[in-house]
Amino acid sequence: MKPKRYHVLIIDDHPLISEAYKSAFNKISNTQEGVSFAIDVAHNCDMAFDKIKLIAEHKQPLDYVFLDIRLPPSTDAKILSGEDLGLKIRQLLPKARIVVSTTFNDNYRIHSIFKSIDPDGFLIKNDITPEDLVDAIQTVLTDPPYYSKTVTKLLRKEVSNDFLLDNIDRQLIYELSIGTKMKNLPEILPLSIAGIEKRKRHLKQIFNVIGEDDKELIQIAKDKGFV
Amino acid sequence: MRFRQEALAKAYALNQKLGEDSLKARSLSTIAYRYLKLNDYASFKRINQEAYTLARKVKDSFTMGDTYWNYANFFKSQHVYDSAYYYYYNANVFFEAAEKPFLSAKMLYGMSFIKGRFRDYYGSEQLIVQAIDKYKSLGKNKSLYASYDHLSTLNLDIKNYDKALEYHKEAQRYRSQIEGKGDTFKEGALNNLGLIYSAKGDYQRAISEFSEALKSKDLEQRNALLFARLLDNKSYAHLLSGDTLGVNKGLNEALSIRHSLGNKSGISVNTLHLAQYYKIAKDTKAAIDYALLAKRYANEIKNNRDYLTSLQLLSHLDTANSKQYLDTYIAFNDSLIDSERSIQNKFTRIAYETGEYIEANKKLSRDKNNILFIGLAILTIMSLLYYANMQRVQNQKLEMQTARQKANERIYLLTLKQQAKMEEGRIRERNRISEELHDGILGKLFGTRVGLGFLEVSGEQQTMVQRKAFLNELQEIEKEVRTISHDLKNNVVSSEISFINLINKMLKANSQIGNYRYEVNVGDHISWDKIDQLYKVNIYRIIQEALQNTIKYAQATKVIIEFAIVNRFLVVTIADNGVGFNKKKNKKGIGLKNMQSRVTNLNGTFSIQSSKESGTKITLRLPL
Repeated sequence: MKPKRYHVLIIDDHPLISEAYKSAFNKISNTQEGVSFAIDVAHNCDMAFDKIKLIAEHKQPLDYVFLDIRLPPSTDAKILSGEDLGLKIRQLLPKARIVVSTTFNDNYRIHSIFKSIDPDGFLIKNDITPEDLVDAIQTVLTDPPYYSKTVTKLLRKEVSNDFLLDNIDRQLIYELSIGTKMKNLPEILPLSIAGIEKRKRHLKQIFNVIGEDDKELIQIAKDKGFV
Repeated sequence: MRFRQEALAKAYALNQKLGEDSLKARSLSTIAYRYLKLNDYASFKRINQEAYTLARKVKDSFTMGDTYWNYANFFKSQHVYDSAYYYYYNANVFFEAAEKPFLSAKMLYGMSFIKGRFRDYYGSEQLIVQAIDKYKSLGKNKSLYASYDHLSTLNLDIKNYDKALEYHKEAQRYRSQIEGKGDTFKEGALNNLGLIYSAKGDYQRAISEFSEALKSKDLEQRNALLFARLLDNKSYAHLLSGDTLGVNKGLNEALSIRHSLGNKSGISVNTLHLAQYYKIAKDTKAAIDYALLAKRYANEIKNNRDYLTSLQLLSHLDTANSKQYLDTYIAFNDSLIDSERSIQNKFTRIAYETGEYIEANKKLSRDKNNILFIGLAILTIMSLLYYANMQRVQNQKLEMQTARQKANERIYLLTLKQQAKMEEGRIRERNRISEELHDGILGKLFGTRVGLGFLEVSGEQQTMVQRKAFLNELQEIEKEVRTISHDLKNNVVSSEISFINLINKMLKANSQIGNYRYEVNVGDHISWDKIDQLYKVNIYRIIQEALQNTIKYAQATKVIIEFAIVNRFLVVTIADNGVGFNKKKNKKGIGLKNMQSRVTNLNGTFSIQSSKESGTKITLRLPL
């Protein structure tokens, strides 16, 4: 096997975690001959975006990005989370393989990340053990994708569902589930109150919910893996 | 006589058994009059006074007039003319008030008669004219005859012969309509006519009138008094005409008839005529004797005219005492004029005083009316004021009630708002904790765990296994933290601020006071967000009111509140297992009324079932 040096960018605001990832990469380079990693770390969006821009400008290689979703937003407030950052990476460095590693485990966010970034690896931090982490890194290097257990479960659920919900439907259910008030919804969704009501009625029909209460709707949507 | 008096006494005794009313008063007056006729003056005075007092008490002006008339008759019979006049006058006032024009006219006639007697000819004529007016409107011919006859006499007295004749003629017109068989009106009229002619100096016509009357059949039997008067007048006319033939005989015949009848006034005139006859016949001695006799009779019966005539005659006849008689004549005439004047003054005073009395009475009754009117007005004003005040108080009460209701609603809304704010804060805090756990602690734990996992540690097999176990344990802790973080977020929906929460809170607080258990059953599919706040406020208040009643009266141990939607109606039932209450007896207290009005305002229906066995159940149905 030809010695290979991979360029890695770890984006996580917790030094503790970035150190853990580093340990995983080190473990692989220690156990696998000819494989080594050049690891760089960014602790916030600004830092990460600067590095990405620099790499892209100088056409430097970047093979691997470990991306946390929950990150302090950039100072110009253009990049709010790892999701936005992921999009930038896809745009600027399309060859880089992205492993999303997050503590979020709600279906809506996972779904949304799939839609936007379509990561090569998707790890729910608390699913994985150090062994899983090593496994994930290797899989993504050789034969992506790698999805941790929660993600796999959700995908299975979604595939088995017949419901056709668009992003707005999902977002509506999600907002309702976190207790956003109806009157504030038009600020979040590109819809009027009447439009939202109409959509809600439609959703209730889809999920076969009787009555006016949203509680039941959210419960069923949750069971079906939409949130 | 004796018999009639006894009968009257009996009638009086019977009458006393009657009630104190005008009927009794009238009977008493009649009885008094009968006593007067019987000349029993003591009984008359007593009973008439009694009748008057009673009539006055029962305000029977007719009987009051009647008793006064009785008095007038009494005083007239006693020749106390001023008193008689006084009673006539007042009787007239009473009869006027009682609207008895005929009796009133009679009183006027009586007064006129008395005035004429006291030579107040003008006053007498005025009165008789008033009486005639009344008689004419009533068609009382007999009274008209008497009145015109009196007028004729008055004019004769003032030597207005033509007028006297005219009135005499008028009197005859009425007389002709009343003439009956056996009466002697016609003869009396002829006598009067004769007197007028005689006074006029037309003796032949006078004699012919007297003669015609005397020719009337059986006049001496029918009316001896008139017969004597006619005979006397005829003989005297003869004498005045200068024909003494048969005069002495005629005068003496008349005198003897009068003597036999005891007609003293007739005798006095008659003797005067005889005295004049003897004077003309130059028998001075006989003339003086008759003149003295006439003087005595005239004095006895207080016939002033005859008395004066006799004195005048004597002064001519008795030359020795002529001056003395003349002085007496002058003195008497003066005193007569004086007394007449004083009596005339008295008449005026009577009229004036009575007028004043009436005026005072009128004023009194006017005052009484005024007082009554003012009293009524004050009463009306007071009632109006009272009513207005009541209305005002009622309005104020209503306004206050409305204001209180509004304040209550505002408080409720504020409570709700407060609740919402609190809930919002709580949610925010929960989210913060949740995120803190998720992003911070969870991440750090993960980092620690994985970092620890990659740490190359050498040790015994046992230690390595334990390390692995701890790492797994750490992962479990992560899971727990994550679950907690999720739960914190997911509870958001279930813990939304809801109406039911408020109800539960109220019940919880109330149940501790009332010492009862409670249950709140909320039917499916009630979306409280969609229900108007006004509904919630009112339902909340009604439940509160009902719970207060339960605590105060029901001694319940359990309260169940249910919400359900039935046919587009929100149905709320509040039931307890207490002792209930009697709906009829309780007549809807203010509490129940309040509930009722709240429900009515929302176009809902409200019903209560209550019994000792099953407690009280209040049901509200509100349209959605």
